[in-house]
Amino acid sequence: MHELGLIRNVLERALEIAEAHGSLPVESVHLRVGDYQNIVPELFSFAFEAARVDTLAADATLTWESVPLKVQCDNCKTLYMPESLIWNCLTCASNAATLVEGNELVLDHVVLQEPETAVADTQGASVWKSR
Amino acid sequence: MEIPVVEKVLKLNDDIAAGVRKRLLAHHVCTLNIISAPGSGKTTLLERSFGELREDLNLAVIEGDPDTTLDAERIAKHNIPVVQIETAGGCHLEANLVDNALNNFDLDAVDLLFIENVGNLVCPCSFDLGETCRVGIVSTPEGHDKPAKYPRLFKEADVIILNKIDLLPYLNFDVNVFREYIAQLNPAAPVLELSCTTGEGLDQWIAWLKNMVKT
Repeated sequence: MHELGLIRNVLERALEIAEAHGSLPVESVHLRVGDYQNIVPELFSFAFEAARVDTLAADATLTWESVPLKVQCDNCKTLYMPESLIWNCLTCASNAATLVEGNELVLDHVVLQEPETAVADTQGASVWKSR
Repeated sequence: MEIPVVEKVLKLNDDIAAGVRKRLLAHHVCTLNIISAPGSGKTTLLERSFGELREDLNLAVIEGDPDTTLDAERIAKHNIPVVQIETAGGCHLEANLVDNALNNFDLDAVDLLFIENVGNLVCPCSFDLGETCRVGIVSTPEGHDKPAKYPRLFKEADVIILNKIDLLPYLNFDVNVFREYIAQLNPAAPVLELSCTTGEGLDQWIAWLKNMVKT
């Protein structure tokens, strides 16, 4: 259940940004989450919905892009995308490799409501986007 | 209005962990982050290691548990400096907790610091504590499939301990299958089979530790 702690960090940063921009309400928060991070999407959404209550992000949506694993073979330098954490090079069959992509856990951007339309009228929902 | 951020969610933890690592390095402290499921024998392994280590090395322990000071009380009986972190239900230790706990030690008088993480095979893996090495422990009653089911710990561990091997005759645990999973995930990691009850295999662990402190 480390998702709750992580989402608090995300929310805190988003709220800092909102406050730095004249306390505009947060419309949406966008993350990039690598498959290496052991994140359960449903728990992330649930944690966000629990944490955002009574904040500038009370109506914000949470969106994230899933980043699949990409590794480079330590032996022959082939780049490949493994299905799991068991890595077998497609070229030389070595299982020693270095993670190149998929370890991300990044707050990519935050969308604030435009000042003139800053009226909260929608109930936020989480959106899962797979790459 | 879109505000680009592109910042690691764990930046704060990572920054504090980098500070902890620097602090420990400055005092020449070798630090192990010990991760396993609850009940795999982390505390018992420490208790069984003190005798062999304390002649040559100054030891200290940080205990992490959601509740109670039971483990710290066990360690304190051996006259080893110990700090208990109670996480109030939290499922893992974070770098700021370790940073605060370090204030309770005279770090110049510590060569080897054991951090016993909260019993959990998933969450602790995401949080750098500033350790020198990561130790993964599995005990035989947990089953030989644990590396396949919880791969991240076994992928990242610098050494993997298979504890409670004295129980093997009574279990369906297949050591070869277990070793095969580890070989696929983390071919470089040594796998040390031992029993804290009989003492079998403890010598390899002690030798690994002493070598780690030396280097």
